[in-house]
Amino acid sequence: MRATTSGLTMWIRFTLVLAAMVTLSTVARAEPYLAVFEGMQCSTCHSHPSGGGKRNVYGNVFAQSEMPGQRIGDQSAKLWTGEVFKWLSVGANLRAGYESVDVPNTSSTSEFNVNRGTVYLEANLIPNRLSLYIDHQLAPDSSLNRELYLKLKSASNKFHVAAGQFFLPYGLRLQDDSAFIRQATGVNFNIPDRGIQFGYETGPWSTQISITNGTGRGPVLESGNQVSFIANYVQQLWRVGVSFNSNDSDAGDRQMQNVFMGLRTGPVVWLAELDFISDDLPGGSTQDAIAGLIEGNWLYRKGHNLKVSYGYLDPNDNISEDHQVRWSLLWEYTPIQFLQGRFGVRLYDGVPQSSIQNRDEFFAEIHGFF
Amino acid sequence: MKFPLLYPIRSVLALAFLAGFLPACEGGDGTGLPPLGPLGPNFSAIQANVFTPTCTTTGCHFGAGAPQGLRLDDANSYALLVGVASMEEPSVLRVAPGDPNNSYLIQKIEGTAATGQQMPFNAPALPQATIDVIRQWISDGAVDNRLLASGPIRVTSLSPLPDSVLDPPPSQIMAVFDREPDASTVNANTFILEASGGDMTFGDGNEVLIVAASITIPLANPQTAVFDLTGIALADETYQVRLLGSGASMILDLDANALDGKFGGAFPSGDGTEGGDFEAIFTVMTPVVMWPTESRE
Repeated sequence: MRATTSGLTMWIRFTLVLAAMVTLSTVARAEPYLAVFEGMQCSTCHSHPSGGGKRNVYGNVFAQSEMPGQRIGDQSAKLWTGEVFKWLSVGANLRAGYESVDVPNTSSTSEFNVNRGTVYLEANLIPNRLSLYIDHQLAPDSSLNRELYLKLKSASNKFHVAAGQFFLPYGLRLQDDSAFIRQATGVNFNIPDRGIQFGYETGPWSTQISITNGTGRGPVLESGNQVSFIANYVQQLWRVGVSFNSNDSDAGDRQMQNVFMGLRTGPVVWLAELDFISDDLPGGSTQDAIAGLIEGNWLYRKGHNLKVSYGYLDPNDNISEDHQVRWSLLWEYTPIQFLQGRFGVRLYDGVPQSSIQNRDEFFAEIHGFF
Repeated sequence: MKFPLLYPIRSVLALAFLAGFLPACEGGDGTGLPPLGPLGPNFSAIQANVFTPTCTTTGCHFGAGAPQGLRLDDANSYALLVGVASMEEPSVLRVAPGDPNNSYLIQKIEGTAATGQQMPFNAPALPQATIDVIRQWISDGAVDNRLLASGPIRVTSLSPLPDSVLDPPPSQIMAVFDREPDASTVNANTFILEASGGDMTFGDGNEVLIVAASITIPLANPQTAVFDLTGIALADETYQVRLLGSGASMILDLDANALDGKFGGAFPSGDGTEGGDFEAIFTVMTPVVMWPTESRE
């Protein structure tokens, strides 16, 4: 790996700090790895069938009882469930921290930042059947509506239909939007789309299909629609899934498909995803890309997770030496309920023509959530 | 938490299995990519040094999945940036020639836009020196320096796309040239839209001429000709767009070069010599939607 001197120094410094913290520590859980660890569907803890966003009652109880190293406060007090009234529940996430970025041939930058602040509101108009869901981003930068939809569930809870603006059902819904599988596919927490979604979930199966404009949250100025589909098969210790996406537009047609999996081996949770992205461009040319992720999460002690991940992106299959890789090492520590610290390094390695593809990042983040 | 012996063994096996799928441990050496050249306040340098390596090679502003339809690859970026209204803030042009402060591109990369996140997304902000170069290019009029070469004027894109099937019908036809055409030569005699007459063929005499509400060259985007279909509902039919580069009336550039319009399916049009009509067809087809009549839970 072409690590810079400062990158190596950063790496050694981080390893020492990490080692010290690990020895002092007394299983933190969020994101897909938590679902794999528990052998549950994403919808067990989240209002959104594909996961992410607001936690439901179970998710909030889980966040207070299972995630933190310890639960502080009045142990006899009722747990926070998100329900402020009988028909109204709320939630939020705030991620703020310090980041140092070292880009070759430029001076390194360090800054404190609000990485993301979101609030959620869910009105259960007809309990367990009809709900209105809002996911609004307050930071960074300007305010942004991420999701706004009505969801109708069948009496059996197996079927649902949602209409409005929402994130697409595709692949592992990682929190980290900078992962290549999130960035290259364009399916991430920055690009919702407008349309309708149908879902079916029963036993080990969970499937969703959506039909949307295919323009992000922009208006339709072109022909064509976007179809996204995901199917998960979940078992106690493992899961596999497939996704498909087709976006037909005047700018060309994009088709994406992936396979993803999760596996638990004792305290370690493994995640992997492989995406094939094919763009048919105006004029008849085709450009194929491949993105992949392999991630290991070692939940070695209650409240702690050590995450190592590898990302791969080949943006143009016609060019043999344009691929990028990213290695991440991250420690997530949830000392008490609703509060998590995240400390990590990300080492990017790309083509020498692009400095930004060869940057190193060190970050420390506080994550408050409910 | 207990750690039975089987767990580390299984974990190591899983790690070894997954490691077998690693395609590379380090990034590519760049072989096959074009050399960058120095960054300067001209479009081709900004494209090569900023838009292509930073905005498109991560898969974001590229192809059908480009956020807000903004494709920043070499073939599309200029036409989709200069003089084009932002989708997030429609009152602001993405690039307003001569006015960097009121260009949405600058607002997005400086983090002052009224909507959304600073670009590049989930990456470090561009160095101020790079932003200053982009500002200078906009202040200088946001010229496309790639078009200063001589030769006949060509068509670089058409919306709707040739051979596309549309639902709903388009509200306008937009042709983009590789340089500014002589606006007086772009009119109802040279920018023509015809319906096939129901037989999906052209040239057999039964075509129906569609009269535009207007045909204009927008001041803010003078390389583009717009055939306005406001108030005109195109029926389910096959249509042909023609831009004339030959005959009594033809499209000329500002130096009186005639359109090199011959189109073989790939943009830009032309065979390198003046003359030749650009012809492309599209179809409007409203699908028949059938809804289920009852729930089958």
